[in-house]
Amino acid sequence: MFAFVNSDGTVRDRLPVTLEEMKSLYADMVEARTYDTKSMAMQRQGRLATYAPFHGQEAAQIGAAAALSEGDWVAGTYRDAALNWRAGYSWRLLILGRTGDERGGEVPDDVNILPPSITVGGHMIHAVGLAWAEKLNGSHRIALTSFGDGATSEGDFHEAMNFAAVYQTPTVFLCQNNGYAISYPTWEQTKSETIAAKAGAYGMPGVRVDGNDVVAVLVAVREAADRARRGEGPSLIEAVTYRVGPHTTADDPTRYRDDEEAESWAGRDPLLRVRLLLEKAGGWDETWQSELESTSSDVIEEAVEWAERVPEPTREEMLSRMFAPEDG
Amino acid sequence: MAREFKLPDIGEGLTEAEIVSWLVAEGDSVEADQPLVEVETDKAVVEIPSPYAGVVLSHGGAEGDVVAVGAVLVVIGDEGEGLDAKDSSPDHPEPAPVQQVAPIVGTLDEEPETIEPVRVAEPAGSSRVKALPIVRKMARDAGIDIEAVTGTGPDGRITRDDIEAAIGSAAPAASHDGAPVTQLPRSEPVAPAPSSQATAGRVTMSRLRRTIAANMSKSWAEIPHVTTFDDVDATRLLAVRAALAERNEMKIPIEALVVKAVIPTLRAFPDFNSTLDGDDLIIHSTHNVGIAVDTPDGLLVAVIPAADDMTVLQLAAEVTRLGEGARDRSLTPGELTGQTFTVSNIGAVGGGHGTPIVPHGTTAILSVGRAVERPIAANGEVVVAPVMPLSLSYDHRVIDGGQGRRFMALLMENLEEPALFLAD
Repeated sequence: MFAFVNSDGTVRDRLPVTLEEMKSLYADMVEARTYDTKSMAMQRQGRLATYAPFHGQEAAQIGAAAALSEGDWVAGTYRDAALNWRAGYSWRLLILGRTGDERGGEVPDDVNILPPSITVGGHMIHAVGLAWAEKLNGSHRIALTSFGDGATSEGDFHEAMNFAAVYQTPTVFLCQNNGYAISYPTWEQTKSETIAAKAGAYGMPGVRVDGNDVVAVLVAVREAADRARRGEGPSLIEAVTYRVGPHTTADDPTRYRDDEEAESWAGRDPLLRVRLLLEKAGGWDETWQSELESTSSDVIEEAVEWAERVPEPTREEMLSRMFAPEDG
Repeated sequence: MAREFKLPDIGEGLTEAEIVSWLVAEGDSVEADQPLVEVETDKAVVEIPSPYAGVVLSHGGAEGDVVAVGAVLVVIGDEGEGLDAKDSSPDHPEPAPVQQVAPIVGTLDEEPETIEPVRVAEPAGSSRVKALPIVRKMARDAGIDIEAVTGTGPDGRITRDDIEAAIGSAAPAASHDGAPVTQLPRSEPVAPAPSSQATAGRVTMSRLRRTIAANMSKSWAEIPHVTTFDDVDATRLLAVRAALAERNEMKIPIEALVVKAVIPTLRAFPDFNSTLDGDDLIIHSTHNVGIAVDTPDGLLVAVIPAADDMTVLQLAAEVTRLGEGARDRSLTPGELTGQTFTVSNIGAVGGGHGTPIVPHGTTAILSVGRAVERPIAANGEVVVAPVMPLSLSYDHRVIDGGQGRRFMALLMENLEEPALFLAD
């Protein structure tokens, strides 16, 4: 498995990122986790609809987004708030969407991110279409689509992978293999040894990376994006990670997995290893940590306050955004 | 300022949650988002973080209590504040109305101004009451005017239960074409449901019916039933009944005499007045006799507590009172639960023998059919006498066949010669 940073903060290889970049990735992961924690609390307080936490998957999402360039497309799932935010989707809109207001899915014109997909797998096909369009337009933009291990058991995965490879669309397929399709373990979903192995059948490269290592994800996605930009077609990246929390706020994971498994993953936390690494390199101390937490909290609280002040949509608005304006 | 926090739907479509443990005591301070209480829903045990900072003025329930979604879970006030300062402020600060121009994205930051909400014309035929489409359909299908239904859901929303209640109260006093059918939760149906009519379509059973179904299934699944049948010569019993009615100028329901005859039989065979609890048999010292009452809504089992202390006349008055109370639905839940033995008189709707289902938590049930004149053999001759059919079902885990027959024999002896039990 492709990796740079071990769980204890030691490194396997010379890091292809600077200390400042590393600190920036860490700060982003702290902010993302703050959002995740706050969202869980708000759902329990009746302020958000069902929420799908990404706790434990911060590195896979922040690392992938950090590898993208301006204008690249992102098509993710309901669990990809950190990916979307780091790619340019505001916390405000993400929170607004979770309050049940569909206007949270109204992406600003200058942001090339699709609204979070609730349908499992359908958005992979959209990403292939977007990438194909960019290729036909002769741009250098690529499309990254993120999905879970469960989505690879869907027919849409096959369609998207096959079409992308046949038409050599500039698509990066990022599978966050977090161990479970709701309650169904990955090893019961597929007879393939790895999800990355599936890439070979479609005629594209597949790589398996430590999804809790932000550097490994960053490097793998960057290489895949570069390939795509050079016109060499799609790639599949399997980021092996773990969903620490429940599938959603309506799920009880203790019914289908044991505590030992969850505890074993606690030691592989994506934030902890970077913090240990930075500490050794003299790039982390308690004061900075407090500052990060305080700043993140302020940012998220501001976004919450904004989202909760937005007046409810009118009935007309429920349908007014179904279709593009006729004169458009 | 004290604020109420109402239990939200923290799953998807939950209606209630049980309080597992309070993590912040009444009178203690709490931070916003600090874990406040642990609740268990249908789906999981979850921790609810406090929505506000302040002091916990009161808990909406004790540990173990079930709180409905939308009910007050906790009241949180400012430091030093008492409960009386509570006001009816909303759960969350009222969002300030914001001027809304074109697309909302990126334009909503500052300076709210009041705008009038857009009034949307009501489409013809639509209803102003709040209800989900499925609930509206349910009302339409049942021929219920949804506008006339009082909603008990959040914001007066009309729920499925409200429609079911409306259907229940609107149901005609339909005649029963078979054995009694329904009763309240916690007690059990005593006779088989009527044969189904040939109907087109599919109807979701009422909550009451579903409860009965669950109870029936539980009894049927857990209790190995045996039913023993017999016929009793009711000549003397009916004579006693007529004499008592005439002398006291009151109605003597046949149940009053049957109960009076059953009690000494239960004393002789205490296993028939018991509850099976795991490996133990709890034998009850009092005889709380359930009486099946046929009502337009279905069968209810009303309970005569400590029936052993009552005379026939007292029993007669009580059976009459419970019958009327059941029919006009004025009985309390306490009067509809707790029987240790059940008597079902299916004679009112005809009825010969049957195989009654033993209510869960008891070990036996007696069904009494109507006494009709039949030829019987007596002293070597065929004579005509009023014959009353008896059917006794019992829990075969507790009671053997021989014991069942002995119970029946003593009961028949009592019923055929009322002098034997009237002296009690």
